[in-house]
Amino acid sequence: MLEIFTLSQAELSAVKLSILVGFWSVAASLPFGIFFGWLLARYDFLGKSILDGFLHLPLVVPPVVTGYILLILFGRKNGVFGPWLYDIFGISFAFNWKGAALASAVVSFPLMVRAVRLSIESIDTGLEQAAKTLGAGYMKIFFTITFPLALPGIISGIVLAFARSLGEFGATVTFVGNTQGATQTLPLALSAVLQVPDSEFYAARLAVISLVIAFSSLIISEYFACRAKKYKQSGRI
Amino acid sequence: MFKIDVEKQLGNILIKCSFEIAKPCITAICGCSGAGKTSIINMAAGLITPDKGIISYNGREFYNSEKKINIPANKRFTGCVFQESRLFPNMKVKKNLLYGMMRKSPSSLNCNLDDVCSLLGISHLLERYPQNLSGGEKQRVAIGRALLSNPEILLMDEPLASLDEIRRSELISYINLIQKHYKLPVLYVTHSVDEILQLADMALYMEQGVSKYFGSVVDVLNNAAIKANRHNSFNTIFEGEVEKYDEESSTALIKFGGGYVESSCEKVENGRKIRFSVNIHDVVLSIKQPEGISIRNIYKGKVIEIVKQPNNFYDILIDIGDKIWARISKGAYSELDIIEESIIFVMIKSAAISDTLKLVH
Repeated sequence: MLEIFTLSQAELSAVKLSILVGFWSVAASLPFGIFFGWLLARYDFLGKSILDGFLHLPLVVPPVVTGYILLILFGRKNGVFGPWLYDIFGISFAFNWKGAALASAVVSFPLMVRAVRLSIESIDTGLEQAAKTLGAGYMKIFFTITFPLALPGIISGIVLAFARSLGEFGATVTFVGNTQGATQTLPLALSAVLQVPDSEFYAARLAVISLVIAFSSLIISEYFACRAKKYKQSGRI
Repeated sequence: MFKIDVEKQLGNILIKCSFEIAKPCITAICGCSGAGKTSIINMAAGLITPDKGIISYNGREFYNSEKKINIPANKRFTGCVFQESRLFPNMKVKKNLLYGMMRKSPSSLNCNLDDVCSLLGISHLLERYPQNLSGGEKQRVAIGRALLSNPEILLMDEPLASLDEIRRSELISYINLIQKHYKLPVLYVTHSVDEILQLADMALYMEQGVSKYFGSVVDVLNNAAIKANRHNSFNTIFEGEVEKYDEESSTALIKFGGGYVESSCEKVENGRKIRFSVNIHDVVLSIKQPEGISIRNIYKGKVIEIVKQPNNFYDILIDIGDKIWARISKGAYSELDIIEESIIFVMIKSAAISDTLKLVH
């Protein structure tokens, strides 16, 4: 009976990898997500709609295409930047978890930018103007007014992006392949298991694990968003 | 002291404004909605950039299109109070107040937290969040916050528009108090004639983006009223000083350009500056010295202008020391046989004045 709860080596590494990839994809894209969300919310400039469209591309392009483009750009031997990144920084995205994290980050980026942008747009620009007349420069305004007030939106952006990277399949499999222990996250492991005959039990178990992780991350985020919102309303951030 | 002479195209309205304030006082900027009042404030604060012109304070230029000077808003040392208080919801009142305090200002204001708090009566609110303040309290904190940023000039954009009548009169006295205490020049946007009458020393009237009249409150308001309400009824505004107050009959004797006027009002001290207005329909004319009538305020004057109204009325401008408008019917006009330069007696009912009396702070 107990063996239902005993995960195999492959499953355990898929769970760990999924969380690792999810964490780093969000962590790496967060500063850029906040920057572009703020830029799009607060400034009008030439080519804004082009930039906006470009940032939203991963949302509408099939993930396999995204993976393919990543391969062209960051392939270790034949990519545009790949060899250069490896020679100078020693960074390689090929067939390791960093590649999986990059693919997840790219695919989930539009969701994060959207959430941040919406929450910044909902902040009264009058507050920022008032801060300006009180002598605050851009940095001070951002860190004392804009960021604290946008926090609930930023948190929901983080969760959306994390959830999206947990479910990321197409871009990852195209970019870094499906190697157990290196790039095999939960969805990839599930897909691999399904190829094997008579493995319904293992497939179901992986599906349940995915569900549990996704659901608990939603609950955690909801908790933080609620707290942030409540604090914002009562003014206690 | 403060000089502005700017042009700015905003949508289909061209803002063209020029005036100069010589000494620290409250200057009201008035006009209809959409006349460009707020734009003037925003240009002075540096929140919008004019197309061309000059904005300067005490010889220092904030903006000069020819010399390509445009000091950013955070380095202009203007204290702004907006219609909505714009307090930062994520900070307690105290932190809000201290937000602008760090900057080094060339002004010699040197406000400190305790003084400002006791002056505005907000000491007990320091630990609260803006969400838990009433409208009047919020605006007082906003004024305090602007003061504590050590401004050289205060810019107020309809600070009382969102408040009820009681809070409004309360805040009027606060605004006046800080202006007198810190001797700051104040630009005060409003469309309320009451606020102008109680607060302002000078006034600027804007019409469709253009600064039309600038000068003393009485002159500007009288010109503006005629301009805006030529075909409707309008008031002539006067400024005077309380000469004597009779407690028994609760009447004040007010000295103004035309002589003395009697009006019942609440107790005021002698020498108090007062403004009042007379509606053109409340003025009675007579070509002979009236005798044996109940009206106490009678003035001798000279007709200087007659304007025929399309609805068969005549508006007569009479100089009784100050200028006053009266409206009479066509029948009365032909019977009295008035021409320009005629000598005429003007009568005003005290009751018509008492409701309009405004103490000038």
